[in-house]
Amino acid sequence: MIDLTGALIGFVIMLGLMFIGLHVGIAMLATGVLGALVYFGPPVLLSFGTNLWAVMNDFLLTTIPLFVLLGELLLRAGITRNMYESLTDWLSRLPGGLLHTNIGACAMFSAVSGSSVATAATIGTVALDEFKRRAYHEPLVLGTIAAGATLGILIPPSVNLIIYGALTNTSIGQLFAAGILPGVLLTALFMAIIAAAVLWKPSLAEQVTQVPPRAERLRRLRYLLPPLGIFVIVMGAIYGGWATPTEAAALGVVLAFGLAAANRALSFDMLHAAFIATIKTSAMLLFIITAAFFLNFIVGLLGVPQAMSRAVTELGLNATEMILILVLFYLVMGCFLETLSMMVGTIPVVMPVILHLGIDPVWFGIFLVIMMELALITPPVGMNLYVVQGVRGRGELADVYRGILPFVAAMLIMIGLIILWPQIVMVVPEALF
Amino acid sequence: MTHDTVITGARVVSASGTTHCDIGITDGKIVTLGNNLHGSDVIDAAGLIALPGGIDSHVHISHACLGLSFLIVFEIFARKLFNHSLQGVDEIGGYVVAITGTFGMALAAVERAHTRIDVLLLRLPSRVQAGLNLVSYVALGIGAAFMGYMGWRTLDDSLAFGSVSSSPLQVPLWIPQSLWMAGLVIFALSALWTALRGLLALRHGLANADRVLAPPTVAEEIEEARK
Repeated sequence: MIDLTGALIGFVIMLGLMFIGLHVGIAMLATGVLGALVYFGPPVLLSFGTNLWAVMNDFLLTTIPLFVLLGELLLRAGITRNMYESLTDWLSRLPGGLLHTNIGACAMFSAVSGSSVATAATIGTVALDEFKRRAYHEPLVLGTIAAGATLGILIPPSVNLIIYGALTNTSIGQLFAAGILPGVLLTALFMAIIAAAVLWKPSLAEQVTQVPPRAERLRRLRYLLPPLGIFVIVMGAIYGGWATPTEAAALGVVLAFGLAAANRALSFDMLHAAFIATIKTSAMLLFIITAAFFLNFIVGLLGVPQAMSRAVTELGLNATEMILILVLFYLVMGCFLETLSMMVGTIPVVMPVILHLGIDPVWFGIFLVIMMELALITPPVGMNLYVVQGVRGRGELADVYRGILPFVAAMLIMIGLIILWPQIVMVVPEALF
Repeated sequence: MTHDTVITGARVVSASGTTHCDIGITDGKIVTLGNNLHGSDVIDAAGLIALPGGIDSHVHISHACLGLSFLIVFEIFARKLFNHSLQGVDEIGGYVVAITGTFGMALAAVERAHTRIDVLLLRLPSRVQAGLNLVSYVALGIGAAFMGYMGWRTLDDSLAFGSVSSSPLQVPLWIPQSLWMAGLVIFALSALWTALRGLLALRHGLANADRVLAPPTVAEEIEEARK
């Protein structure tokens, strides 16, 4: 059995291996192997062999490549520009104009595509093109895209929530349901902050006075149907009780395939590119997940959960204090670690404490994902900041840093809200299950 | 025209057949097949066989995911409308993911798609970076080989006990497991092969080695997303 010091040393070793640039999966495997060798000896390692097969051929994990493929097909289905235009029709008269379109388009696109990098790159390309002709405060434009693109990992379907569910044995259906309301609220919070900023300082954004006639706008509303339709059908299939999350993902793939065909975007080259991207992303995820399961297995044998729970009891921390410490912990970690690595790397040590304190794992999953969204936009390693700057292709990265600040604040407010009122997270899953 | 590299005298196997000729490579791509080619680097492969990259054929496996989707959707409707279930779609789905997953890991290793944390790495001297890149791919190979060894033990047990899946399909487990384990072995070989390629590229300077081993830059990630 390991004590707290041993567990923390192990955690630091794992972080160290990650920071010298070893592959994240290898850093976790190596830490697990090291722990097993120091405390038990080689035979323990081999007992994982059977689990390895069980982990990789789990039907639940079939969900991941299917959702990734859904996103890749949608990315190439030729819907982005029309969707952006249609959202502009309806959102641009709010104070802040096209900035709201950015948030809306990112939320909608990233929800179904699931990848924040792909969203920032795709919507960024369309949007920055649009803004070239207009007088907006540029940092704020960049900020809306970088922040908007993080929404997808919270709004279901979310691959990150599936991975969390798989690692912690939490229901994917409940997690998806729990992500909806915070996702919508955070989107609204982003828009409210934009509106407030523009009302306070009107020079930040151009005033849009003219919109196309109503008939035209209504006609163009059909461009919003594809992403909304896929979302509604996939989620409806799960909560209507006639499909498991995996089956619903497959349904989404078939719909996206049909959508691409209808838009004449379907070709062998396009499918080929989508498949290559899918298999690389899924395999990358599967490798990290497998390593995380292995580490979790060893950590369990070593008695880390008991050591962590004892430590928390001795410190006399209550649930709220622990969560506040974790907010700080994940804020700092998120500045330096890639988001998925941050989640799977910390679950083995953090989860036992959460369960010990009686915190609901569904609530904690949503909390963790919002912390991951923050990590995507906090310098120096906020991936979305770099992607947006890369798409922009000129100027200073500092512009993006300045533009993101209001949205970092919005996310921290969101974290505060779900801590004060956990019902924001729990009300939908409790109503549905 | 002079190529970067010319491979001479090999028996070249392509999709259309087998011939004896030289292979001309420029900028990392095969640009000419023919005789008496000139290159700044000449590799004598007389008596050897040149095969096309095995990695690209992995793509065909991923078509399985799309096929699987249609199968699952068919299953949902069959169950709902005709109250009839195709037995074992979920089981097959699990096998597809396990097998495509391990072969995909090999592809991801060659294409540098496995996640690494580069925040500290990028701030180190370029020589140290190159060294750590090499170490990371060797470690990836060893880790994959370790998984392959565990996979082999699983397969060995299934063979010894004649295990079948506990479902109506009664699949003899050695069938999916041997493909799965083969994927893990290829994963290990791909990682080590990438390390070797990086080591060889090092002869032509750090920049060349980085193209093989360094984590993808943001520009490359954006390029990837737009493809």
